[in-house]
Amino acid sequence: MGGITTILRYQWRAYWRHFTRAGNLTAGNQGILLLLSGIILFKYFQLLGTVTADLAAGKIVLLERLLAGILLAWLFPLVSNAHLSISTGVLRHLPLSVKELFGIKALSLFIPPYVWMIVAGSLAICYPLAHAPSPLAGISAALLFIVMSWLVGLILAQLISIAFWRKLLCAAAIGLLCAGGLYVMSGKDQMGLSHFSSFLPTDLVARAAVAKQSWLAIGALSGLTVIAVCAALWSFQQSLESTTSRRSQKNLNLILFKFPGKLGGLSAKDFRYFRRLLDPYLGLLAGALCSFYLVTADNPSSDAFRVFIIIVFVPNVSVAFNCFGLDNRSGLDRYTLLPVNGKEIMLSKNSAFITIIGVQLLLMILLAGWRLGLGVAALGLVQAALLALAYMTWGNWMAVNHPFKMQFFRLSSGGSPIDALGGVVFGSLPGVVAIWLFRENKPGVVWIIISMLLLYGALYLCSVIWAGRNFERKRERIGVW
Amino acid sequence: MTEIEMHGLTKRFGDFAAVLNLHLQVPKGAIFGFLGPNGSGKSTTVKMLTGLLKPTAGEAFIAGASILSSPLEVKKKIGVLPEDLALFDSLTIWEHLSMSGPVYGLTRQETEKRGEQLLNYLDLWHSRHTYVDRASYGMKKKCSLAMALLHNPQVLFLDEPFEGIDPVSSRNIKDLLVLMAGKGITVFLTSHILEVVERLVGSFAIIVSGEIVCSQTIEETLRSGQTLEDLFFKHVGRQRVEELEWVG
Repeated sequence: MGGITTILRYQWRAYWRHFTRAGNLTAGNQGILLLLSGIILFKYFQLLGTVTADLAAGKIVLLERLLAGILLAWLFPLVSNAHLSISTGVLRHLPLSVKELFGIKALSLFIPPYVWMIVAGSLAICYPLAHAPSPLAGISAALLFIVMSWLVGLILAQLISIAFWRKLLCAAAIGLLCAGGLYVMSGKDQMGLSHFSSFLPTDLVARAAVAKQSWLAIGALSGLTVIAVCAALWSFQQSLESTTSRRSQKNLNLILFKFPGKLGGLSAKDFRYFRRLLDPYLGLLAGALCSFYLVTADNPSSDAFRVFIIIVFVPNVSVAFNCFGLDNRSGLDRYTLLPVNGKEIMLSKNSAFITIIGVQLLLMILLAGWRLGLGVAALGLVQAALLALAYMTWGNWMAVNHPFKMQFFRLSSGGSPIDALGGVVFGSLPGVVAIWLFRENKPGVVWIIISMLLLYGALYLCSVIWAGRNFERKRERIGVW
Repeated sequence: MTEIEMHGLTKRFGDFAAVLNLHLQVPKGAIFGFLGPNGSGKSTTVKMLTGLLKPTAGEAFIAGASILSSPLEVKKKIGVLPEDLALFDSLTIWEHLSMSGPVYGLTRQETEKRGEQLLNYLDLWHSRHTYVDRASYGMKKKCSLAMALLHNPQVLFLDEPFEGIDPVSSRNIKDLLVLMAGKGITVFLTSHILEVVERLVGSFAIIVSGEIVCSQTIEETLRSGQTLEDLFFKHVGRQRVEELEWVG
């Protein structure tokens, strides 16, 4: 136990040193991040009052939604724990058992302050439950649910770090999405799937609170929690073993030569890196939703298609704005050793970004061509080009000036939310203007669009030259995470 | 003909002078050893010569190109095995070679042919599809060395090339360096293994606290009746250390 406490103490020190070494505690705008979290919590606490009244009236819908929100909130810190400086892998040489290592991993996730807010928010759900028809059962069920949410996040974070499980989870997610899509398209509850919702943990908590077979619900939740504990321990053990294997990767190298030219290899490397970040998969999901909409809607709207194009770009902010975030010091040294200048490095990063975005947009643009006409699809391409230029213009500036560390198979975190928000506004602006222009369809629209393309093209070229020069100047400082 | 020239090369980190006023010349086709204790400024010098660090003062020329005014030209002419190996996580050994070949202007076929020969030479061919972050230190080092050699550089900078390398590969690397030097390629290496350096290099310099304290040929050393080790300890010295009574 002493060993665990000591290591946690140093984890704590290493975490906070990340900010103090950056010069001050405002690094990464942590204060603003906390402020934003505070605003969300405030809104959440307001909703708790409504849930209290609902529960008294026997209504459980809002409670179930908030519980689902709590489950999602617990996934966030666990999937994006990039700031923990001492990873479990490096602790393996110490005389600690797997259970002790698991304890360190599980407890160290409570170090970042935003996790304290999630804990506070999760425990606050007990307030409305205390006013429910069966308060004791409701609170007990909620506490079990919170522990289970934490464990589910832990299991997912651990499984994502294992190649086999990553593929399996990806296949399962695609399968579920397709099945869900087909089910929704059918428009009927033919298989009676709605009955399954009564076995969901959120529903079990609600049932315990409103005294509908309370103890049965708590029993089921206890069983699920025990299973989650076992699964978390098992997945942790698996993740530890997977870090030591030296597997051969024969098939993946084929991708490299598909990028032509001198910088092809560098672009392919960045494409590989970017697709190992979880954020672009959210963009892919948005693209899939748009494709689903285009296929299933009776009269799909071209405006909705254009809005979806803007939405697809948003989850890719980390890829566009922090293109050096996945490179370590050693990799950045290689960039310096290669006979390429900063401008070429920025171009290789940008072409990898365009490829990532292209993959996300490809299907929806093809489907738009089929359902909405080739003209709409072509205008969609123009809009996407404008968005890409704007995102890369802002991103090149950000990538050199405010780089932050990202981790493979995690959601990115740690950047300044204000910079990211500014970038999303700047990046989305030409897309929004394009939608407005396409809707108005006034004479001269073509010239305005061409002017916009030229303007953003010029801005982009300036950003590449400027960022390239700055990369050469600041390279020694980039990558010192 | 001089291939590496340093004129007053200096690197300061704040008040600390890591390298101070280095003047050195290495002829074409030489194997030159750059020796010194830990923290003496060896790697900092290599970093400055290869473009990883900008000198605070002074100038250096590699194969006639200035490291300050023509850094890209220098990079095209040199091959580097850096201290931290400069490898990308999540790329395989083969992918590293495939990526760097075209950057140096090699065709895909040329890159593949040379890559295969190099990896076979370094006994790495069967492990070519291993991710470098899952490879052993020796494998990583050989990968970085293969990248340094792939484009047939005019000057080779090797920072501790034999550390962590198995004896067979180590022997192969030594033979290769002798062959390269015979063909006019200049090799600038740092190493702590003095026996290896003594047998391999033609001339050497010893750097202590950022300043060169000795620069001569091996022949001159042996003629003076000393070994490289004698000379090294003479300049570097050996601090008296307290005995660890608690050991055992």
